[in-house]
Amino acid sequence: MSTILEIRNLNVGYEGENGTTKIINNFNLKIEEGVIFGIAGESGSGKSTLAQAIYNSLRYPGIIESGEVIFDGKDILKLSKRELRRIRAVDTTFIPQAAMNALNPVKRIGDQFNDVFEAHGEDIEESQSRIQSVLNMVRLSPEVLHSYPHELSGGMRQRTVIAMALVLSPKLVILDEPTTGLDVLVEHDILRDIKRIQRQKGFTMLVITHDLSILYQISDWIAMVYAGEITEYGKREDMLNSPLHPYNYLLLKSLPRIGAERYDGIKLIGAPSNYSETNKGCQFITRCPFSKNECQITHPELEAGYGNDHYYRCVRTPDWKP
Amino acid sequence: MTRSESVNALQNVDMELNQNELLGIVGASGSGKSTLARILVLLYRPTSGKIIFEGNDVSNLKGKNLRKYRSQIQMVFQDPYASLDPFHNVEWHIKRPLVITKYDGNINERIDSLLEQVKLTPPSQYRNKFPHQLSGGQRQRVYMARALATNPKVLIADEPVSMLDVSLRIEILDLLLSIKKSLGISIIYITHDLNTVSMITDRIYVLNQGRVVEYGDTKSIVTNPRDSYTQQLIKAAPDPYKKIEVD
Repeated sequence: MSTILEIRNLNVGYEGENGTTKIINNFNLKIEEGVIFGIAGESGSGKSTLAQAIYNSLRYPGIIESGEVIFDGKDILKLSKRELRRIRAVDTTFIPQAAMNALNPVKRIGDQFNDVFEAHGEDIEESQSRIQSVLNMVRLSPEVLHSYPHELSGGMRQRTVIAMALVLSPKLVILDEPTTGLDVLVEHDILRDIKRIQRQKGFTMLVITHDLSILYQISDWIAMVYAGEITEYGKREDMLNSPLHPYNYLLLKSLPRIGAERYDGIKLIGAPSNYSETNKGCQFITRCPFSKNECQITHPELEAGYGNDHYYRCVRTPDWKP
Repeated sequence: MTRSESVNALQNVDMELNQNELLGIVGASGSGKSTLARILVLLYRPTSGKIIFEGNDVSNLKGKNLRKYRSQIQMVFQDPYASLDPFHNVEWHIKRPLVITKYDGNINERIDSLLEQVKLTPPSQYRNKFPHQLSGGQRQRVYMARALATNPKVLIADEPVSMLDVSLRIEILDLLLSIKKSLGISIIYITHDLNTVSMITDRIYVLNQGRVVEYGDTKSIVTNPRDSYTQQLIKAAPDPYKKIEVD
């Protein structure tokens, strides 16, 4: 399989009165074609900033300080506005958080689909069959085309947004919090449908969310982000069955699950925090119950785990494992 | 449709809350679970039926009696970012219910002990903090201390952890358990999340479209749900170990 997206040494910050606050620090990641890649992060981890940087849609005061985002052989960060417009929706598409609330409230859904075609110079008449086919994929009746957004439920609006994102058959689809704010039953159905469509069409999907459970349920690969850095990444099964970083290990242990034994062991301390430039050691140290002196001194690099394709950022692995 | 047509958000709901139990009320959106919470604290009044509290019908309480009832049944809401006043510090939030209910002991000591109860220790470190200086989990604790200030007999928590980061949820749920144990009060935990309900509650009621479809001992319901709606909720409960497979 070939690499469809590669992030190299990406640094992103927000400009403020006292200089730039770093959010994403030296981020590196390779995503293979045709997989569902999940990125998990709690508040302050920089996950939404990362998504916007990858799509080159970050706005001031957000600043991409350095790095490359290679998509399909091109560095997205170096493209002109015009070139970006040409590849967006056609080659890659981004469904931001709460996109379902961003549909135009005074336009019928059908006309909003036509806007997509018009913006990309597609013939509207000839494209109608493509709308029918994506609506079918997301299990919406063609009647929604005559509706205004307020006439649809939250789940239907989210399905509409997904259909619009897929109508020009992009190769890479980025979703930020795809089901947050939806009802449990609706969430489950939509996740299953998204995965089914991805498997049928074979595009690459990058899903970014705070919800570790659903991420593990749909992804092939998972990266855990804490304070602007990857703490661990690998194949879903490896991440789930043999965590190599305390963060992933402790979060998985502490997720309440029906029928599972209650976890009463060592717990995470404190609350999620942002990247700290003054901290020369491990970024995770303030929350890690396993930290030792050595963690304050060196900033750990990503290292390869025991098997292939499993990486972690912790100097104490595997000694911390209880 | 005519203007006077009304919709029943809850229909023929019979429910009992025992002393010192942690009761779960479970349902998807639109099931009526939040309406039920608001009726219990009499923010809404039932169109028919009764709420019996300690043997007395409280459904129509007014004035002084209503205030007294509300001091005994307190509520914690979903959004800890919205439920605290950004212009006031922690101390103010907890002091207010004490002043309003004319607390007759030492108010300062009471505030400290409430902060200790919700595990914001040492209290002196938190008293002067403003909401924006606290994490979501800490805010929810402050709100809980405020709710406990009047010595309620019942605490209603409506989705208290759904806005919090995953790593902070367990702490708040553990706090509910420890409050139940140390204060001997009853707690109603309202949520759509069967994972957390199965972890902390003694009994549950499952609501669907305003009706109770199933109720009983939590363990027996989550392991052997009889109603098809309960089964759906259990199947949809996120679980990292249950991979979503598609054909």
